[in-house]
Amino acid sequence: MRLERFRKKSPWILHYNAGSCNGCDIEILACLAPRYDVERLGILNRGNPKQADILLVTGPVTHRSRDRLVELYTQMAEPKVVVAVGSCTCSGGIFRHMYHVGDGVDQFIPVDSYVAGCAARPEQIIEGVARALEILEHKSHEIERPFQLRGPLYCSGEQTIRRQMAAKVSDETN
Amino acid sequence: MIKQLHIPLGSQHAALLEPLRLDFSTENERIVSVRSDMGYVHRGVEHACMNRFDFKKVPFVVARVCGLCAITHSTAAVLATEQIVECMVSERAQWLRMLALEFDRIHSHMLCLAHVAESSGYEALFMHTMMERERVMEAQEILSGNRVQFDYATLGGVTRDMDSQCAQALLAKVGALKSVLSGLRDRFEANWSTQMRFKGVGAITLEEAYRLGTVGPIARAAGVRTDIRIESSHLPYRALGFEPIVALEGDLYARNRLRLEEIAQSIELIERILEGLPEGAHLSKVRGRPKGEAMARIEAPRGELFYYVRGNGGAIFERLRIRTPTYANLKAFEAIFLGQEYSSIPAILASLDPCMSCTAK
Amino acid sequence: MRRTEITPDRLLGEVRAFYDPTRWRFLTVNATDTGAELLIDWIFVPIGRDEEPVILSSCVAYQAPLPSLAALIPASALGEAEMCDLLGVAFEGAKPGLFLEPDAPRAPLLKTPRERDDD
Ligand code: SF4
Repeated sequence: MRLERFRKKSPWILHYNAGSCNGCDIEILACLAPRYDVERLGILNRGNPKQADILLVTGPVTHRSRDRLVELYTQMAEPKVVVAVGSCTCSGGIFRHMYHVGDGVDQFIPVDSYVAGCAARPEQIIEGVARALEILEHKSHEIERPFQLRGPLYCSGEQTIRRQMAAKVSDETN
Repeated sequence: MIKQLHIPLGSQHAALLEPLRLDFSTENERIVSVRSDMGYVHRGVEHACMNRFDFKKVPFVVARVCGLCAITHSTAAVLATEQIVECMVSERAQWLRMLALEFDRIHSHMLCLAHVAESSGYEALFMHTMMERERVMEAQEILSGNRVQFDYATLGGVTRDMDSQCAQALLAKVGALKSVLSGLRDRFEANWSTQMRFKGVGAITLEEAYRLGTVGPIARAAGVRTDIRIESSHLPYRALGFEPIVALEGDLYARNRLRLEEIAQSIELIERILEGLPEGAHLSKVRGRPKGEAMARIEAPRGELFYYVRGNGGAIFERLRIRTPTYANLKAFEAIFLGQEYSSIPAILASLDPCMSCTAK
Repeated sequence: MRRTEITPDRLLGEVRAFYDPTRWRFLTVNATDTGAELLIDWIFVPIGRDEEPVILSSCVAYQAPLPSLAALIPASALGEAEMCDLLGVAFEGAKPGLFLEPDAPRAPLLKTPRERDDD
């Protein structure tokens, strides 16, 4: 049996808010609700990175959430796809160059499907996910790694461990 | 000896829409202490408004502080700025702003109710509430052209006028919502199982509500008669005969009921606005640059939203300060959590309706 | 906006004199960088009435120590922590780190942002 074919029939979603304004998050929620209902495509929202196939990210990645984002990404099993929902997620959007954000998710992790719009409409989000599913079909089990975390690494209390983990992953790729 | 367990919740969690980290210490499943970290979404919007964007763009930038109550942010920024530049806002524009605010309140309250239902295990009720909420989203699209982030309020008025056809469509939408609301109230209030789940959970007393300075539905559900719609005269709510709704118990059940009643009240306000909408221009010219300082307060779905602006005659503000409702309520959150069962935490948290992107800006 | 000028050491007494939690709500503490010094406003609004807010304000030097209202009004602690973070106001008991990460700029809302002291 080809697992790839069946994976596409029931992809599970992990949603992470990396500093968005919630505008795109409530549209994702609207997708899960009856009017747009992505459950008919077998898509379920589960807040568990180990079980998820699709990572839906919103937000320009604030400094405090960047290592959580990278950690969630590394915890997901291969193959996986990332969908960036919203203009600010794709490029920083209106938050570009603000002092506490990194400009867009693709500075940190590889993105497969970009959904533009501020806020992205539910139809657009569904299309972005559908495109990502096509990519998912052709992905192998090769491990994908996040890019290097930008900015110097500081150690403070419990946050140190996480940072170093993310840093180690990016060192291996270099 | 009782063993203490530390349970972190967040920053990424299935029950949370937004990144918020809460560290609970529990003894026999009861919460004995809470620590919260709410800075995950700090982006630096105030800084950008004071350095990069000129004052005409600021209402659109601050809308991106929060997507749920985007219109309240831009309206508050606009109301504050209009006090320190030369401009005449027509009566019609003010009424249209109120209209958008009330739609926003309905959709935000319904989202909160849906979220409460989901977090306490009523999946079908979640789906049902979200389905009815789509009517409001469509109404917002008819009014402004977008579902969320509609950038409706702008300096000098609103960006789009409304014709009679549009008013008819809006009336039809709220009429339909009104007819399904009683069914929704039945499920939230009269249902035996939801009553068991919600009554007496996550309560806050009147004294605590006063002492901790709570605002919005949490304060009103505990009996504090506070609503910025009667406390400030920026928007002509008095012409609509508005009176705040107050409940007494202060628990999760009272908060749900209060939100449902406020939805019904907002529907009534919308009908009154559409009926008595004055004639006039929807947009007028803005002259000059902001000089001086002003503040504006407005009732967002979660409570009091405060804006302070200060201009020195340049195109860019010297200072912009945002104080959001969740920010005022955070201390009360901690008081509410203490002594509760850990298993009801997701439901309580959802009913407090925290908005972290508002809080951290 | 009508302000009442006070000095920081009189703040607690002034607030105690009129603050009744069932009639007034502490809105927030706000700091503004005027270019030469910091303008600090403590804003109180009436509950349920449409009246003028009470604004106690005081001009202080950068980094001058200021008393905290947290003992009297628990909700003030958050505003004080924010001002400490974003403008470097030295409120009693407030630590930076509410919003800013260690590698973010220090006190970004000041007109001349402070250098980061890398210790
Ligand atoms: S794209 Fe716009 S609406 Fe979506 S999260 Fe970003 S700022 Fe909010």
